[in-house]
Amino acid sequence: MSSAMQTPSGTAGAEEQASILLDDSQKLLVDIVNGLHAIAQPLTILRAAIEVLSLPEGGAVDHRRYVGISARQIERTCNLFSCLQDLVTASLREAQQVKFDLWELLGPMIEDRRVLLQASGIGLVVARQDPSEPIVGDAERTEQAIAEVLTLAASLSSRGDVIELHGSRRGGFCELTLQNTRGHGKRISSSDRLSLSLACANIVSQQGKYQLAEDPFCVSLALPVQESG
Amino acid sequence: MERRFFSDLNDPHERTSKMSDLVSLPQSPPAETMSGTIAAEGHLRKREKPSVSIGIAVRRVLIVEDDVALADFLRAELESQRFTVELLHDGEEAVNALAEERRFDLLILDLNLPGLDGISLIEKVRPTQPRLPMLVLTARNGIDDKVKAFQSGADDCLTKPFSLAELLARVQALMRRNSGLIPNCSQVGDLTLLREERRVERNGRRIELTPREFAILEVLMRNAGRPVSRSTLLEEVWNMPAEPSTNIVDVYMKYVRDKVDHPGERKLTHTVRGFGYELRDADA
Repeated sequence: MSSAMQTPSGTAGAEEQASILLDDSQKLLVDIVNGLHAIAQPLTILRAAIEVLSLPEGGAVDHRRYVGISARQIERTCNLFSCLQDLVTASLREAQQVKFDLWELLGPMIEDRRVLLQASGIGLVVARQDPSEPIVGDAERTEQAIAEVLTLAASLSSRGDVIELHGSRRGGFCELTLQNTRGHGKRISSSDRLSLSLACANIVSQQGKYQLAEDPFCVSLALPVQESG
Repeated sequence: MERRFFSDLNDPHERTSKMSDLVSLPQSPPAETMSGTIAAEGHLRKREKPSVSIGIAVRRVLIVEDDVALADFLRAELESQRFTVELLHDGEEAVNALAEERRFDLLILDLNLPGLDGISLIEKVRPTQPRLPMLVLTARNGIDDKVKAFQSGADDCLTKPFSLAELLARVQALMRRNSGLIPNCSQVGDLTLLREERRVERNGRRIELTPREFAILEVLMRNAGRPVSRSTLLEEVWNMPAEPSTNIVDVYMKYVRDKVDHPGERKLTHTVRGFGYELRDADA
């Protein structure tokens, strides 16, 4: 999402709002183009594997191999397609604005991830400094955004790394910073970029803020909190 | 809600394919293998291991593609067609690889690359490698991107998702176009090498060479008048990476030299100290 969308609503004039909409549309189109680019990769493999499979000759091993490749690429395509759909939905449909407890929402997912990451020799540390005011936003989109960035942080990490999740209060926002302080020079693929676009769209659509540093990997997500009193 | 993206393929090193049934790839001249198998043109060729090919310089392809799964798939398919394939996922790394002494017969590259994008990569490499065929793969369907690629020096363009048969056919066409630059007959002084007939003569004297010796001489003839490094010979003839500790090139080079340069004949094979060998007619 564009920075324009991060501007609190109601402050812009009609003309400015039109330009905000145009920026958002353009950003969405760029994200869609990137998503289509990502989908073209598994489709290429799939098309080629099916071509080979359609040939009359070939041993059972070959057949199994190409069927296996096809299955994996179909799954990859479906995941990307679903991500693209979610991105469009997040960009075009209003997010819910309800109160929810962020840590209650994230707790089970963080525990699951911690166990999974431990098996790969990667640590996940959570440090909270934020008061426990509820978030005002869309719980489902928040959970999806954090799941996406956690998945990406894990894929960019290596054995021995520690992924840190910091929660802090800044202004009227609860800021979550997810980082791996060790840079590995690993690139973010077009598939991963689509996930990040979705995470960004999910956060920004609830009047939140999103920031990314690629190497070392660090994502900051800020969500508005219910002010006490 | 959570997604995992698959960027790996199982068994990327399984080197069999049926794609030869779709497209008959250029294999000229017929290549021998350690097992002695020579597959008939246009039929399924199964290659056990790329490293066992001898007798003629292998066709070396550099694939620069940032999608690991697609890159692995393409490598497996091309290797099953008896190409030697090197994979890179970054544009900058590709520039370095192409700037080194390593020789490639074809470059297949994606336009959307990290490090250095495909267009910039072509622009950097083309001036130094005017004869290297370059095939661009792109998921961008816009005419502009293709025009830009061609203007930068690409020879061909394929839009993803492309057909594998089409890719192989285009590889074939590019190789054929390029192979036309290497004539069947090469001559240095009074030494003649006929590639298709696999025949070498010097001033009417027939020189009998083993497949390995022929391959060495073929590389030297192709680069006549230019020094060829030991590592290039190792890569092109043995399909082995540069290995400073081996003297296999020198051993075989002595066999070639003994057969080519007889006492009383003008010396055509020359040692380039600390580097490799050169074939040249000093009187030319």
